[in-house]
Amino acid sequence: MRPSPRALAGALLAPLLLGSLCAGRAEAGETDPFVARVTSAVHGQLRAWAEAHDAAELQRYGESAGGRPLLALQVAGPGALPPSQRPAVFVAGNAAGDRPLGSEAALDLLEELLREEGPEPRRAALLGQVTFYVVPVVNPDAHDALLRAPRWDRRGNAAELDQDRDGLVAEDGPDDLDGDGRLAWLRLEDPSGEWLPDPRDPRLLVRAAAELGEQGRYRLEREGRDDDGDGRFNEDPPGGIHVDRGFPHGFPYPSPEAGPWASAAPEVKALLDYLLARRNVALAVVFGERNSLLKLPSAGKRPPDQAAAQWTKGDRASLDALARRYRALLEAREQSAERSGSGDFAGGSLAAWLYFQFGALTLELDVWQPPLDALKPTGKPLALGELAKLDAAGLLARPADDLEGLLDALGAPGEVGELRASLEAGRLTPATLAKELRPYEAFAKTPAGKARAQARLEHAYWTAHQPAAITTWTRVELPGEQAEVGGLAPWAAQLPPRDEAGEALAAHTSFLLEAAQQLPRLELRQVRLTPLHAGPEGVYRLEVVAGNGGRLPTHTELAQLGRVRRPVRLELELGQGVALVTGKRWKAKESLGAGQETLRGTWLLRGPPGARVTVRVTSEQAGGASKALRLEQE
Amino acid sequence: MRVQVVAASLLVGLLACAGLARAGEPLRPKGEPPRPRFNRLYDVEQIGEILAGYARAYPEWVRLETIGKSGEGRPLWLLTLTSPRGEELRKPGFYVDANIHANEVQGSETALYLLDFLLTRYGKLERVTELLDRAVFYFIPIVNPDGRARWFNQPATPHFPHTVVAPRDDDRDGLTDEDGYDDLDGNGIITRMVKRVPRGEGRFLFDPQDPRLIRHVEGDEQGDLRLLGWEGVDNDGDGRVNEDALGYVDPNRTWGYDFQPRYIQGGASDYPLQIPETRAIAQWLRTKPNIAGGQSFHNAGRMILRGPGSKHVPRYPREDVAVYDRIAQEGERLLPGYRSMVIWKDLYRAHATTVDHLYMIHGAIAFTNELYSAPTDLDGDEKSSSAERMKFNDLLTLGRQFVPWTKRQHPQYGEVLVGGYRHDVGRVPEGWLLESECHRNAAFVLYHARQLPKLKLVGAKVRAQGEGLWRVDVTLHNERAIPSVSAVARQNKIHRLDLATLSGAKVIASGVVEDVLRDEVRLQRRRPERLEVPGVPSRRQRTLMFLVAGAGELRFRYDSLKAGSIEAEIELKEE
Repeated sequence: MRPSPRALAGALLAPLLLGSLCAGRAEAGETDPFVARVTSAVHGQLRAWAEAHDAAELQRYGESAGGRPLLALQVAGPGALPPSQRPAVFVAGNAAGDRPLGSEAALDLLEELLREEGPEPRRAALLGQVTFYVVPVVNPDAHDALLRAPRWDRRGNAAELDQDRDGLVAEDGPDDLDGDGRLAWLRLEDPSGEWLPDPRDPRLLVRAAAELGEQGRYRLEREGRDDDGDGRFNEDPPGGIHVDRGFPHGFPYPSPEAGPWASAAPEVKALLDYLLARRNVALAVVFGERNSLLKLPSAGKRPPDQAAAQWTKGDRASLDALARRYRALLEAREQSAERSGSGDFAGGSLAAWLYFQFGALTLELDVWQPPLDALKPTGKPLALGELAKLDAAGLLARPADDLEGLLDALGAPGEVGELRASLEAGRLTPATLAKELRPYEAFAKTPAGKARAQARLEHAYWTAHQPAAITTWTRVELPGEQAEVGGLAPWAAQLPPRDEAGEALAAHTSFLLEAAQQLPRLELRQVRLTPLHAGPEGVYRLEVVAGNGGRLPTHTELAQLGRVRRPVRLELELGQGVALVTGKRWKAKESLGAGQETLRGTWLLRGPPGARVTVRVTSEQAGGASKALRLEQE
Repeated sequence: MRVQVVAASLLVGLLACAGLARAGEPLRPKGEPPRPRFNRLYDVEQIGEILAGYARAYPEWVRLETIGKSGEGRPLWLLTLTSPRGEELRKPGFYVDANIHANEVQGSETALYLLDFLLTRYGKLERVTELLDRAVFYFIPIVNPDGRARWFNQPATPHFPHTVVAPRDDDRDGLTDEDGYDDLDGNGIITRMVKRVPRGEGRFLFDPQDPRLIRHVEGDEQGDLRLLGWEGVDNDGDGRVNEDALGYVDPNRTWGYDFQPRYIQGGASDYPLQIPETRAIAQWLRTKPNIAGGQSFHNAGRMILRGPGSKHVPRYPREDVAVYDRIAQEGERLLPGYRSMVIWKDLYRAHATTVDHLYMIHGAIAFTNELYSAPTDLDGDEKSSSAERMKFNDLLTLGRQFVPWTKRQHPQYGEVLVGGYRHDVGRVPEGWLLESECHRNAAFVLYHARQLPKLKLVGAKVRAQGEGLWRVDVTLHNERAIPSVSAVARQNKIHRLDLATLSGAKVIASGVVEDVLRDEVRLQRRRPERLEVPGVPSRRQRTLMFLVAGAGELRFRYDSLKAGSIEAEIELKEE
């Protein structure tokens, strides 16, 4: 066990070390407990590691649209195979652009891999067998947008882009109206608006529900002005291509933010080239916007003449064991393992390309979500049927919390003190109250009702753990509008409370270290040479059995379908004077499952005593092994 | 009403620069211009010299530049041809490329023919003059120079090399391009290998009618020939012959729209525009939003092809299909034997091709012509038998095309026979057929380019509304078939719409008149002085409405990415 705020200490130290870079520049919201570092600080850390550790090699693979370097750190210790021939784990941080916590997760892993204090024989063994390629910041232009004032969750790189195709570039972006260094929400009074304050938590805006007789009072926009006076707010913000939509698989056409074609963004092309030169990557982990281990991606058959859009059943089965361990590690650190969204990779995302076209077993992990389940009331609220049967005295005899709990559970308006007063005065009976609450009970079961309950829990969580994440609605001057700025920061989940972040990062690092142990690993299980006929040109039978000593198959089914990796190849190198009596000197198999599955070869050889034969099993992403023999007659 | 067209930059009447011929007069080349003959093919260097020659001879009209380098570092030439009058990006652009497939060579000569025709007929033929005065032509005569160089200079077949030459491990054995074709008989071309085997062991035999022809056994016949494919040996000792030849990536499966992985689209690169050739062109195309039409010459089979290349992508919008059909139907008349086809429906599936890229990403109406079919149907039954092809060889080419079978020793197969048609037979015309093929296809491009949008200001109707308010209705006409904004561009928002601006008075409201007779106007909610217009459609008018407050002269400007711009002064005065 390690102290959980370790990563945070790093975060605090980095600005000190890089003081000259940041000097004079006030980082946004110094009081908020944000843990992520800007790109320059992340890259400074990578350089420091590369200088300090033989196992770490800094790789510059390109430059962002905004001129920031694109850097990877390769980590591999001394081992039998060179790093490029070992099975490898690729880790991408903040692919989505607005998920800087993912960059911290990548850094946390690196820190653990390169940690020097304390004997860690398992880790040394791992670093001798596995190569790590870690890109902590996939989209540095967007990454920094969330970490500098005015802080906002932009996802595009720094290229120029006419998002709304009106012939003007970035003419209407968000504006920091209240000058607090971050961009939250803007609500505009509007009788035709869809939004109104939640009956239970007036800080929260919810969509008006007709079935509850609600009427909207506000329009809701991101904080900003209609800079170009076209009636729309923030429709063409600064920011170019959304890098995590610019990859080739399921590329979303037409979509200005994805770019004119897949790979148009320099960040995308550079990363594609970087990875295509590293086909030893067997496992890829994208710290991004979704969580494909808590919500497994859908699996199914490919339409006959179209590219795969779903995982194969076999590949998804490879996720099962990983998902169980992942969940267990999160739970051990009291992390939320609930996710509402889909675990399917988005079209054009890095993760989609890594699995569907590059053939790596790919996980997308969102690192952290507020643990809202812990906030859910444990007991069952009073049922409305039961309520209706009570008389006023019976209801008043119950604890006040029962009524409060009921209103909370249904999301219904009302203040318990006032209700009790009405009951006492006989203005209200439990039966009429139950009747009034019926629509709320029905609504709470609808998707809209559930979403509202979820948003309420979210507000409760942040109120309790980090109130700075919620800005109180404050009036701002906008011509012709009654406008207020406020609400829960849209990127709140990227600003977790410090202790939460530390636990989340530690859980992910433990998981990745475990997952790396599962990588496929080719081995020669048997090499048997039998002399069949003696003489100056003797005849021998050579029998070889190769297998996979890892826990994962050598190839995903997608890699086999796409033929994007070489097959497992068992081959002989024949020394001077040795010839095959018949057949080819190699055998290949598209994949070797972990465990019992083998690749066998039997050859008849002729050659002089003492001649050399080398047996070799090779692959791109499952390592390899070899054995040298001499022809000997017993 | 008084409308004065100030500068329709399509037909600019600016003062000619010193030394320039007056608009509409034949061009006077400097020195000796290239005079290529079009009854032969030219290799990469020769084409480079010809292009440079045009640039030297017509420096005001022709600009030759390099927009990138091929995989092996050869320059990717772009030749821009346009009148020195008017700004390039304010004229509709027409894109012509050729020879993306290494072996599909004669598109380059066709492009040169078109270039030569335009330069030498300007000022002599009205239709050429009109076109060059208002449009700009972009030529990329060799998309795949490494491939062309190989096809010309190294042993080749009619079908090989086809791809770019970037090495690739086709057979996934860890070695790249280690087992390609081998010129066993040393005659500089790759022909076929067959082997005589004991009677009954083969399924083929030499035709007793003409022992140069090979055919499948029929009836009771016993075969004594085994077909062994193209000339080659097992270079890497893996028991297979020619399984990992030069290159792999088909550049015409690497473009930016509808890219698919290799198990769906053979020949695909690892990601779209991965190879430097198509990437350079794609990047360059983004700087030419004026391109509204395109042609990508291939061979062979006599086809006028348009996308989509796959049935799994959206159909082209009907409005654009009408334009495509109009042009292609005329093409069928200009090009005897050519058929207008939709790639996925009438030919085969092809993802990430040039034509889909030009249309779906740039909104340009683009075709691929598959040039030439050998006219070997001598008896007119619409089929070419192997006997007819041999007769064509014997009687029309006097035996040039066919290399007779000769015995050779093969390291794996023993004695084999090597022979067959030369690499320039079947897909490429004989010299005496080439020029007519070039001309007809150039004529088709000229017809296609003639359809580039051509906007005219019809007039402005000015009506007083009292209290200093005026309603101004401006009408434009597109005289040609290609709309100023294609339907696909509108539908997918792939570029901005046309813009109509009015200055000189306060614009209170503006809109596009949808029905002139009933006066139905679609009003633009904001920024009325900058009206977004969904283009001027194919051969139709478009009327724009402005409500203005003021007096005196207004300046109207219509600005289309693909149809140039028109400026006019409009006086606020009733007729």
